[in-house]
Amino acid sequence: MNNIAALNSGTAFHIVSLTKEPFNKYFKKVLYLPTLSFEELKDIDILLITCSSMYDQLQKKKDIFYKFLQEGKTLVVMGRNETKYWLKDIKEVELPFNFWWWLDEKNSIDLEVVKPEYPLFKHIKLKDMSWHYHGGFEIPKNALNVIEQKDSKKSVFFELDNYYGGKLIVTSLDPFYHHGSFFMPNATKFGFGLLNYLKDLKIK
Amino acid sequence: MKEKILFVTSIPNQAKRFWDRKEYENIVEAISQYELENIDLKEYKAIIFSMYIDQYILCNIGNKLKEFLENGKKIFLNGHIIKPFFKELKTFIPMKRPTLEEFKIIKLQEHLVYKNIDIEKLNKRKGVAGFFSRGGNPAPKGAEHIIAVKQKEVIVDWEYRINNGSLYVHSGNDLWTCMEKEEDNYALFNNIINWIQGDKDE
Repeated sequence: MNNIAALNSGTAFHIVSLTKEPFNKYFKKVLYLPTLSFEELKDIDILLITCSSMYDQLQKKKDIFYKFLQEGKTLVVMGRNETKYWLKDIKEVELPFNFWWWLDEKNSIDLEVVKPEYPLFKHIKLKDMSWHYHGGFEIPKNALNVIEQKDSKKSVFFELDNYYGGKLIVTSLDPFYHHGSFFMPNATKFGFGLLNYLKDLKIK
Repeated sequence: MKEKILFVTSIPNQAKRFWDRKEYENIVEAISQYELENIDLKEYKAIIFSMYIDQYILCNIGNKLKEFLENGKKIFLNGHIIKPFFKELKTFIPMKRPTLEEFKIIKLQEHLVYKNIDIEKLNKRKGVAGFFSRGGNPAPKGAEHIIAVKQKEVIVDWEYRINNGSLYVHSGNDLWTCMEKEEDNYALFNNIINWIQGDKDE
């Protein structure tokens, strides 16, 4: 089982999602982002940058993330983290989206699984990951594109091996924001699915 | 003494479209939440906190905030209190599986914060209820109850007076983001400023 650490920006939703049941048991450490140090990550395999972290602090701490990756470890970046300010070579793009698609019977969410064999789907189905998303990403060269928006073909979930020495998993979905805000039951299901996937993820 | 209103940003440039308006130039000053522990609050007349506030910082300065209120100043706080930062405050209680009917906003008394605001517009954003609030931060004894949901059972907005100071709590998303139209959100933000400034109609 991997040692997972999650970054806590001190918002109400971070404190609820990361330090309380049911997700607290998945984390070896919950680390306060503004005082994060590299030493705190020594025994950590996977660092989770939770949804809506304070991006000015992510910017300040970005060297730590790249040092962590250089050790062959895994960085997971969730939605609403303004990656343009601190994540190298990754291009986030705005996507038009009907945030209220489930209220219109003619609509279905415009996301599509590209790699159904991706092991995350042993733990969760796309329908249980769906509420909305916050933009998407240009698919990086050599990335494994897992979920994309149908029309634009931009990724909302991808994995990139050999990213600055480690593995990078990026999504524009924001389950920990919604779970910790007591909004959207699917966010809780997704949180379970993702954390169960990460705890047993094979790391080189 | 500056006597300005302090708008504490948790995310850089948060709500700049409001506090940066020309009419607030001499009234509102924005600072990052990370500067909060190192400034002299005595220089300000009020503080506005967003739902994204780092609650560990609030806990670190809890005594200072209480003293600020005791000295006749005002605080407007949005969001869910998960780490109560002085003894009268209690942890947010979410509604369990709220129905659409339970989300319906009920005004319990007139208040300057909602002056000329159509409450109906706060009920839904793009057809979805629940933006405004999904539960309540329990009101301290003696607080005035302003807004409720769940057929008046859950108090969402309350004002708690300490000496001549006052703490206004909205237990939900930042109040100035809850309506569709920007001009409506601005009107609400402006009402918050008027409440702080002590409008004669209060």
